[in-house]
Parts: sequence; C-alpha cells; structure tokens
Amino acid sequence: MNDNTLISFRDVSYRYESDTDTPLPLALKNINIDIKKGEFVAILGHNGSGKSTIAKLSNAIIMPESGKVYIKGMDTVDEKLEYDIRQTVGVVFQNPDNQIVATIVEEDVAFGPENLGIEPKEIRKRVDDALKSVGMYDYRFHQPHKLSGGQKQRVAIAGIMAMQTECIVLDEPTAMLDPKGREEVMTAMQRLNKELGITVVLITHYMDEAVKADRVIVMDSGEVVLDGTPREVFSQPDIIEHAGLELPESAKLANELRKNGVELPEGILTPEEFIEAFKFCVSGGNEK
Amino acid sequence: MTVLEAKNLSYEYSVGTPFQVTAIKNINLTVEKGEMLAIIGHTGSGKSTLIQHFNALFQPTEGQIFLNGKDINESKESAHAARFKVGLCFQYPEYQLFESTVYKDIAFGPSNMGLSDAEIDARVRRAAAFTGIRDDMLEKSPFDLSGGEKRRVAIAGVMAMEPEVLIMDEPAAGLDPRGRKTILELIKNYRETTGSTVIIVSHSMEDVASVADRIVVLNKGTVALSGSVDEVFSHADELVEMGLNIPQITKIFAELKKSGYDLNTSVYTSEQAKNEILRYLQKGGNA
Repeated sequence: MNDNTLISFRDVSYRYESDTDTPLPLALKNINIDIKKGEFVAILGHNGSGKSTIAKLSNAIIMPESGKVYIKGMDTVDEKLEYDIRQTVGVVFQNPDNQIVATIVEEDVAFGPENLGIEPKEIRKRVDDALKSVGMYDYRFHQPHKLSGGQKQRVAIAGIMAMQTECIVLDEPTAMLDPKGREEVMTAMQRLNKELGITVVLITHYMDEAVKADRVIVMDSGEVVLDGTPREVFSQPDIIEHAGLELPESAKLANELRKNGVELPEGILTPEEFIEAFKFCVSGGNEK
Repeated sequence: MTVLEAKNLSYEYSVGTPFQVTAIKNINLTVEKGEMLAIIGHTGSGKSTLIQHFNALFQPTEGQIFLNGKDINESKESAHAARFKVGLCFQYPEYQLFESTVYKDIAFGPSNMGLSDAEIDARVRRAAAFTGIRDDMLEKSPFDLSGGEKRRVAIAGVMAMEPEVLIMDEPAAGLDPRGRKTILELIKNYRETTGSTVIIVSHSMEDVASVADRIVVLNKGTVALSGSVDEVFSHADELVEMGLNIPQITKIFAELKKSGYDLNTSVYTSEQAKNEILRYLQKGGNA
C-alpha cells in the first residue's frame, strides 16, 4: 500500500449472519484489492459473487470477519473514523427511489452536506456544482419523484458529490434504467472521473460498461479471479464463462469468427474496434 | 385469434387534483393467442400502467380492455376473473415472496382459485418443473435461496395459476448474464410447451430481440411503433430519440451497411451475426 492507495482490502473475509444454527458460507474469501486514487474500476461477477459486499465494506456499513479494509489508511473497524471514512467514500445503490429523501431536487442534494454541518454558503456552492457536473442543474427546483430513472440516479450521484467524497462506489446503478438512462449515468461517471479526478468503482452486470473502465475486477464465488485492463480480462473467455459472465457482444462475435478461420486480431472489445478490424480484414489489409 | 385487446385506452393519475397526469393516451393494441409480445419504452412511458390494465388492477379513465372479446370491467365478477386469466409478474418479484416454504409460496395463487388440493399440488409441481426448481428446494424457506432462484420461485407462483396470458415486467432485470439467459430460456420453453400467450416488458433490446415475435414501442404514453422485430429495429434513429436503442450487434451491421458492405441488417445475436458474416465472406464479399 502506498500514498496513492485509496481503498485497500487486505485478506478480507466476510460472512452474512444466518437465521438458523448453520452458518452461511463465506461471501468473501480472503480477498486482496488495492484501488488507487483516480482509477475507474469496474467490478463484475455473478449474483451472489460478493460484489455488493465489497461496496458495503468500502464505507464501513459492514466490517470484515477477518482481514482489514483501509480507506486512505483508515481502518474501517475504528468507529471514531466512521465519519471521515464516509466522507471519503460514498455509495450509490441500485434503486434510485430508495435514495431520494427530499421533495425538491436541490434539497435532496443538500441533505448530505447539511448533515456534515457545512456552512450554508458553502452548501449552496457545492449543490450547484454537483448538479452541474451530472447535468441536472436545470432540474434543481423539480420534484425528484417526477424525474426519469436516469435523472434520479444522477441526482443521487450529485448528493454524494456534494459531500465531496474522493471516491464513489456505485452498486449496479443502471440495473433499473432504460438505454438512455444508462447512457446518461455512464457519461456522468466518466466525466467525474476524467475531469474531476474522482475515483469511481462501478459494480455492474453489463459487460459494455466494464469495457469503458481503466481496470476490471472479476469476482467468482467470493474470490477475485481476474484483475487487469478490460483487454487483459476479456482475453480470458474461459474464466469469464466459468464466472457466469460473458464477453462483450463485439468480443464474442470476433471470437466466434476467429474460431471459424476469419483473420481478425485479438483484443476487439467495442463495436468501433470490430468495424475497423472487419473492414481491414475484408480489404485484404489494404484499407485502414 | 385475438386474446387481449386495448381499445382507445387512456389513464390519468390523480384525476380532479392539481397533480392530474395522463399516463397513457388512446392506446389501441391487440395481442394474438400464443404470441410472445414485447413492450418496450423509456422509463415513464406508460408500460407498467398499461399492463396493470390487462388484469383489471387499474380501471381505464377512458376506453376498454377485452379478454376473449369480453370487456373485463363489465362487472365485478369479470374483473375478478381477469386476475386469474391474466397473470402478472411484477418487477423484482422476489421481494414479494412471503411464505415459510417455496411450495407454499408457489401454491398461494392457485389456492385462491377454488381448486382441489390435488389440482393445486399438480400445478405447483408443473410450475416448479418449468422454472427448474428441484423437489428438494420445495420445502426450503424461499429466503435461503439465491437471488436467481428466488426470482424463479416468484415466476413459478404466477405460472401455477396457469393464466391464459402471462405478463412479465422486466423478468431478467438485475440478474447476471447466466441468470438472464436461464430466465429467458424458461419463458421461451413455457410458451412453447403450454401454447400460452406471453407479454414481456423489458429495457434490454438484446433480450427483446432474442425472444419476441412482435414488439410494441410506447413513447410518452402512446404507441409509437409496432411490428415484427425486424420492422421495429429498422427504425434505429427513432428508437434512440425515444430513449431506446437497437441491439449492439445490430448497430455494427447497420454501420457496415452504411459503409457499403452488402450485409443483412436483421441480425440481433452474436450467433446470427457470425452466420451472416461467414455467408458474406463465402460469396467473396467485398466493399
């Protein structure tokens, strides 16, 4: 762990409490993950693979059964640090309707910083800035329940931003959204990461969202089975398949074609890359 | 043969208050017996409002719903009967499980239909078989199951009512790729085996393309497009404008076609795409 490390999981195991006498199996088994400041990391895995457990451990909602979780070096079991930890890592959950607390958009965004005891003038500025960065400033006087799913999720993200956390963990933020809503949330996340340097951890079931990350971590049955760039991770189709996942559509197609003797290069992940490779292949290598 | 029909259907929320909102406006659509119809549309386009009219949970502000030619809101009895003839499986149905065992949860719907115990038992077991729920799971608490299993139990509960029309709101939402595939396969299999009519509501263009015979697109409370999968997905630009899209694979083919490659663009899955490209290359395709 060095100074640049924002989230650090050291040999972390976790087990949910059972209703009966038989204990449940471990949800996380001895995992080690370091997430650096400014990274955009996607976490993939089947339902029950431990992804959401990672999100909850990241801002002290739950504590490890064994091992340590450090947020900028702060041990999450230390109750005195809970406040500082939650000001460093904010979590956005799947269902936007469960995260909206106020009846006006800007009041909802102000809820977090108000609870931190911040000066009203400073809150005003933070709320405006946060709403602008997610593209929801024009809606600041609207009623949240009348917004679309994508808009509500962006308000939830703005609420975390107004607390000026350095890192946002999103647990399947697009699962309930339509294609446009998904696009809006992804664009907002990419902007926060690239323009404001906020560290983003995106937990998702969508492979095409993971392709847009700097780094992809694949979980399978409570363990980290792959950790690398999207190109590295998706060049392991067998492990991906075994983990209950699949390749991004373009990669799947390129793979199938290669198996049938079509000469396409390795590492195709996006529709744009596929189109370019296909044109090159058909032209017999004469076209760029 | 038409099994379900919406005629000039409109619904307004909070009528007579300052918060009056029109959710759906003058919708006309028919559902044919045995078909798999997909309803797509942006969040807030009226999909959920529409499907809750099909089993009389909502009464239209204007217009009518016909089930086998009869207005379901004609009498209290006909509205009650529609609840069983049209089975509605809501989004995230696993949150509605409540019984102490999987068996009892699946049996809850049929138990309210005045059936004999033997008939209820037969239906529970048939529905469990359709949804891949093993016998040893039937006596477990539904809360000890995984997310994907819970979802299947909830779906089995609706299937056990053996409705003429099964409506599913986002049946695969929130599931991992394998869970998605399993759910879609079991719906397809249920339809093929029972010949029932199935309506699915979805935000996933890939899922819709892989299971549906026909698509109805809602936009701001009205029917904007309706037709076969090929017809609807040939309106890519309009779909994007409505907050929707076409499957990623289809986008690749549309793009290549634009660049002058003579490819069929009615391609929705990577399997179809592979076959189409191999066909193209075999006939010595060139730009």
